[in-house]
Amino acid sequence: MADSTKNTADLRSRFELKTLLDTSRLLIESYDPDFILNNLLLITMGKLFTTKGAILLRENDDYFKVAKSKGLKGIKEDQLIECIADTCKTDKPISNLDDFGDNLPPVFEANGINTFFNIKTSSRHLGFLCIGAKVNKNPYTPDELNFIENLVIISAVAISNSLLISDLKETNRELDKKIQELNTLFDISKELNATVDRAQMLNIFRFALLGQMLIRKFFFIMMMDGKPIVATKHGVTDEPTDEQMEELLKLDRDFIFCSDLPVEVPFLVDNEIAALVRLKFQNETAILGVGKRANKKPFSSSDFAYLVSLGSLAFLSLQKSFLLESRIEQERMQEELNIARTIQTTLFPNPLPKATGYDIAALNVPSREVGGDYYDVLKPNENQLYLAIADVTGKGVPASLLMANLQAILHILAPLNMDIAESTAKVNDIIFNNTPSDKFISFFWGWLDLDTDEFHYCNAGHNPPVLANSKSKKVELLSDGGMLLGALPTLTPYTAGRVKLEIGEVVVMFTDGISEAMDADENEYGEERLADCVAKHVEKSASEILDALVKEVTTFCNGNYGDDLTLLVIKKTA
Amino acid sequence: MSGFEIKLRNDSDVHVLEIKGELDAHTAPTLEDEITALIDQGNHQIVVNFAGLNYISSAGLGVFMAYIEVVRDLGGDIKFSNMQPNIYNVCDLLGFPTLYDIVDEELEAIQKFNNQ
Repeated sequence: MADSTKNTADLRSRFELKTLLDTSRLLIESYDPDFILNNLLLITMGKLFTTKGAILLRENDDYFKVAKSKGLKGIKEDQLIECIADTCKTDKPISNLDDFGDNLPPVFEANGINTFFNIKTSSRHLGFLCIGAKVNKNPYTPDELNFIENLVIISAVAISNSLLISDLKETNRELDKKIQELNTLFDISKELNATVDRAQMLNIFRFALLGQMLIRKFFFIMMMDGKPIVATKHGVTDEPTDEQMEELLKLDRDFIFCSDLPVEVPFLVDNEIAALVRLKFQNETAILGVGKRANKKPFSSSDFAYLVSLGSLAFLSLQKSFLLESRIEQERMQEELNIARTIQTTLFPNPLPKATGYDIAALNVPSREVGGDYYDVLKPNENQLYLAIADVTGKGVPASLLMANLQAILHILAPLNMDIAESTAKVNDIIFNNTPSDKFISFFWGWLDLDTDEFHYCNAGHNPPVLANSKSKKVELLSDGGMLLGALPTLTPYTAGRVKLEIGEVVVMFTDGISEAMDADENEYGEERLADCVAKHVEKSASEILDALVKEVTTFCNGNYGDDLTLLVIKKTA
Repeated sequence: MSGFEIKLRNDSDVHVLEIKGELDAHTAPTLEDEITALIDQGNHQIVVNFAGLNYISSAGLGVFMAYIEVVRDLGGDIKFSNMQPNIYNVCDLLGFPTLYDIVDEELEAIQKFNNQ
């Protein structure tokens, strides 16, 4: 009898040893924590005849996580339980409810859990295998507890290893993800660099946000010429106001969840924007607002770092495209100005027509590439010589167009040999009809009868040309005419002036670039100084008089002409 | 550059896009054009056969993200099939398996549409 009891005990102990051995092999050979934990719990529950059991694993310093839970109410897998180990004596193999004091949530006691096997390796406490009472309410025998204790010791090593391996796998996956992110950045930067088309840039950026971050809604604001603009957006229905954008651009950190903003911005709320990312490049700031991710995963700090990299790439490319655009625009305008300048140059008479007994000199120096001054000398027939000078309001392409218009009219009217005052009235009506009300032309023209030396002129609001006589030294101003061209339709007729040019007499026509040139104290050169200068040099040739005037004006204003310089000088020589 | 190619086939109402080569930010617009064309023609049951694809970047996957909602709102779907392991790995890393129906064989995807 004694033998048979001993035999049964032996058999039983050998059976248990075998179970332990098989189980340990099974567990040790698996690297899957889920499999190991599940088996550990199932074997324990089977061995101890209990229907309730759970495994808690240490998640971090503050929490335990329910890794496995069977037959328990209110204890779910993946649930976090606030640290219960601090007050618990984990140095013994088995703890009970009392060991936890008040720290254990009451739900354990409610489920009848009273036995806590400490799962630990030689260096770390991993967690607890918790079980309820036996189905038949009998207490656990020391043998039973001893068996589970041994099982837990073996399992602890397996759990520890498998957790390490899961950690490694997770780390590997994180690394793979980082590599993927870097690949994306590389891919995107290649593509962004290859294009200057903003629509294409937006598409590339949009696909990167969608594909890499699963972000469907976003907007991108930046400063452009001192004004905030929405550079690109997607899935966002309206645009923020300038004030809202300026406020957003003041963001003082690299990223923020919109829920953490001190004030609620309706635009962000309406468009379900979840977070803002600040991008900085030199002194420029841009803000990338992003919506929730399609897989509902929250943004991690690593996600934000990635958004900063991706956003910065897009920011730089956008800036580059805007710069390039303004550069192209500048070059286009320069090109247009060059064309206008070329056209304008061809409008000036070259060479100047010659007339027997007369010496003519002319000069035009535009202050910008395309000025608003015009002069002309025409000889429609052997007996007539037309001289004209004009100043068009404004400069650049619009002024040169108006000047071309005037030139065409003069070249058509001159051969018609009409009365100079009547012709001027016609010119005024055409110019008035052709131009907006803020464009005028001050204009002086006249024709010289080469047989009689009589000069028939009409002055339409232009600085009166100076007529100087070398013998008498008298100076006369040619001011008969009427109002500026283009201001009003011709209501009162223009009057014509007539002077007879004697040998040695000089007529100097000029624009206000000469008379209004200023010295350092902002005194104008003035028509008086001009008349004096002409009188002083009246004995000289037309081109010498012109040079003397230019020299004197240049000295007076120290070379700082504010406007175009135009001079037309004619002298009766014989 | 190994390039990128798309072939379109249809099996009754299900349209199969066979994609080959490399799908990245550079080639993504080609795929986008093809998908928008299908949607515009009212074809909303789309299977993308990845068998010939040996590289995909997130910009490439972005195209699918951009249109999946549109297609699903129209009562259709975009299903993926025949992915090589490296391609699946990228999709998996970026979280696509939770958003898309990814199957081993094209036929399986077609049958899923037909059984609806």
